[in-house]
Amino acid sequence: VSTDQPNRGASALRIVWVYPDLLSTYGDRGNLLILARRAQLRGLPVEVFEVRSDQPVPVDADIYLLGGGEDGPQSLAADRLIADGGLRRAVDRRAVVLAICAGYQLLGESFFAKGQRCPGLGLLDLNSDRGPSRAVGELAGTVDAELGLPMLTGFENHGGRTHLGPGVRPLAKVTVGIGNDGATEGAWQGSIVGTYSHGPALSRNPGLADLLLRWATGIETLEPVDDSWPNRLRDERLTAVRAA
Amino acid sequence: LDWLYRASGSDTLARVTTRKPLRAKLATSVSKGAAALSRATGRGDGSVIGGRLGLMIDPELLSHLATGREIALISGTNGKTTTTRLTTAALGVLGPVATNSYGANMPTGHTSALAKAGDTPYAVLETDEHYLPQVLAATHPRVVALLNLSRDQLDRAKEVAMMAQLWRDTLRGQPLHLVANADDPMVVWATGGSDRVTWVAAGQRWHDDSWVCPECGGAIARADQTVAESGPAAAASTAPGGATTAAGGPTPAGAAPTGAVAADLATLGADPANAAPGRGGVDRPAGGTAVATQPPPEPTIETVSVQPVAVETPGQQATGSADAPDADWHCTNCALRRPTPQWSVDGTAVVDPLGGRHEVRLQLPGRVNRANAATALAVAAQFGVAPAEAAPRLAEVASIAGRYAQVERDGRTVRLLLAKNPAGWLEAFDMAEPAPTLLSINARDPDGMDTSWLFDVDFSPLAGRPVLISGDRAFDLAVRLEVNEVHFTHVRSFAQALTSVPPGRLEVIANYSAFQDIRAELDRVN
Repeated sequence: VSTDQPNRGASALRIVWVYPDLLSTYGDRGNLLILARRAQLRGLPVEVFEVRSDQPVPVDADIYLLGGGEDGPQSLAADRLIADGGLRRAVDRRAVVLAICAGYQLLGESFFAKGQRCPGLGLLDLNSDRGPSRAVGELAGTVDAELGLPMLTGFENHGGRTHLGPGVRPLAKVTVGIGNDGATEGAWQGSIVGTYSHGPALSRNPGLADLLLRWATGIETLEPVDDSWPNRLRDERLTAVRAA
Repeated sequence: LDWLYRASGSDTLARVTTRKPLRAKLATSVSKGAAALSRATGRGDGSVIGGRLGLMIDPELLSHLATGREIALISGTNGKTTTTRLTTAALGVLGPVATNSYGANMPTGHTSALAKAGDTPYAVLETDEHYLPQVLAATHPRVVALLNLSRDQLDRAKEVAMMAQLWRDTLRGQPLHLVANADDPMVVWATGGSDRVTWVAAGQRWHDDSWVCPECGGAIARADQTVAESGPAAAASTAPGGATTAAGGPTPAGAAPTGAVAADLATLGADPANAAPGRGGVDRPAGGTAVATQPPPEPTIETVSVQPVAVETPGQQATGSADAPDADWHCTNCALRRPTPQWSVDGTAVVDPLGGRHEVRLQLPGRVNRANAATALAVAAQFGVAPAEAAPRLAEVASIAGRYAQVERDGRTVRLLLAKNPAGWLEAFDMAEPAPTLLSINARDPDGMDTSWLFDVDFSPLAGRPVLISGDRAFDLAVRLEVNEVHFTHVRSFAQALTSVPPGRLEVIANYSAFQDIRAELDRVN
């Protein structure tokens, strides 16, 4: 993704949290707060919008966040997003998307909720189904080299298994935990990133937050910020899972 | 009203001990013996082991022990232990009351509590919300109090909607009386329209698990939050802790958001007058000139008139009526709505169904404990206890297993507040005085291993106070507070925390095992 952001003039970076009324568990708000803060620390004006499931999804924001959710809200969110069409058009306009857990699954071709296969938005070439056991615990993995990020660290809690198609690349190769299937974790395609990691994901992975900001703003190199506390947290978590 | 016509107790009470089968008698005896042994050897308080052994000998022991007693169960995500203690105090008007006062709230704990209770005719049992079906089946309670439902230890607990469904299925058609929180939509739905409910305006400060109607999936609207009821144009957005940014109504109000994010709004140059409600109307291409277009244009942020949200605004927490925990609510799509409460809290008084005011001079802090007192008095009324008689007894409850305990140490007055989940943290902030505050977080087995809920809590009420952090997972807290722009100091021990603050008050807010660690440093204060 280049600097070519057709909908951004000199205005603020616009972040939309999609359906917080349906997709909000595991501290999902944290990803929104962290993106907004890290943009502000760089002097980038930011606007944050929460779009509830009874509202149309605007097509002209820069970053869209989708969080986790229970089965019922997940399938309801998928139905409403498909009917609405706004998120798809935003992606066509090269918006950046970060999707967590249930939000990640519903961006795929299909997923399982309440015992049946549900159609997803088809924005990511992947399918999800039920695994033999629930994946609960620390998650770590080596991030796709093309993204240039350090180890991914997070906490996962899901019953799904996700099978990647040729159109997406895994976000990371799993070293601890399950992720998609015990081998890979998450996926990315264009400017969309999906992951099973919460924690929330961006609190433990500030590099991923900055990658999304770079994609959204077209700024190649963001000013460094003081990441002593996030780095201490990263070290502690990665050390803890290595010791385990 | 129950307490007006119901005599104290009941003349149908059976003598408990004489009706037990032999196996149950043996099991009861073993249970009591093991509990005594546990206490005598210092291995525990005996509240679990006795029940476990007794249930091994007689799986029906809890049922046998419950037979002939009049029982109240207290369940919910938060406030169970405290409300159980308050209800036990209130029922004390009638005589001795059996209870599981150590928070052992599963069947083993109930069995232990009843095994050592002799023929005490009354029992108040704190009940883990997941175990309500089993405990209800075994004890045939006369009254069940339902306090609230919110997210709690999601790495192993049931999700909130599943929990509400479990309660609803369990309670359907049961011959018992419910005392339930009218302010929690999930609780109201869980009662399933039973006509044997006494409603208490017990409050709900944490809304983030009940924006969606459990009946129909529609949006829940609250009186203190503007939610458009028709069309896609507007809805309220709520920052954590209840700070509200009301989106515009049919005509966007262009309300100026506040806080750090909003400070940059001027750069947008947005002119609300150009925005039209709903789809269509005006599109705004880059460059800022509003251009009238033919419908149907794609929905943009302006045309759908979603308003920016003030993400987190330190020191600007909504207070007073704007954040009323007992605001009216209703589903915008179906008939589910807040029932009219019979019991409520007004300042420091509990108001009964006749409008009688009962001052409750609690030693326990916070609005939520006055609400717990209201629930306790409402349960007691079902047993024929007049609130005027019961209310003074509530003042005798000082602390419960360290919760709310105050300890003098090295010239500091240390107060302990337990907060285990986001809803609990919001209540703790309401209770804590504006004094130096130690926050301590662990993620051991009893706490749940997932700390992501820290981002569900808005810590901005603490901004401006000296804040110390400690615990196994202090770094998670550090990252959270940094994002929240709350300044803090990391300390490695409780002793270091004590010496880091000046003489005077130190508020301690900790989650379960962190709380127990600090309590141990204070000689296991009760």
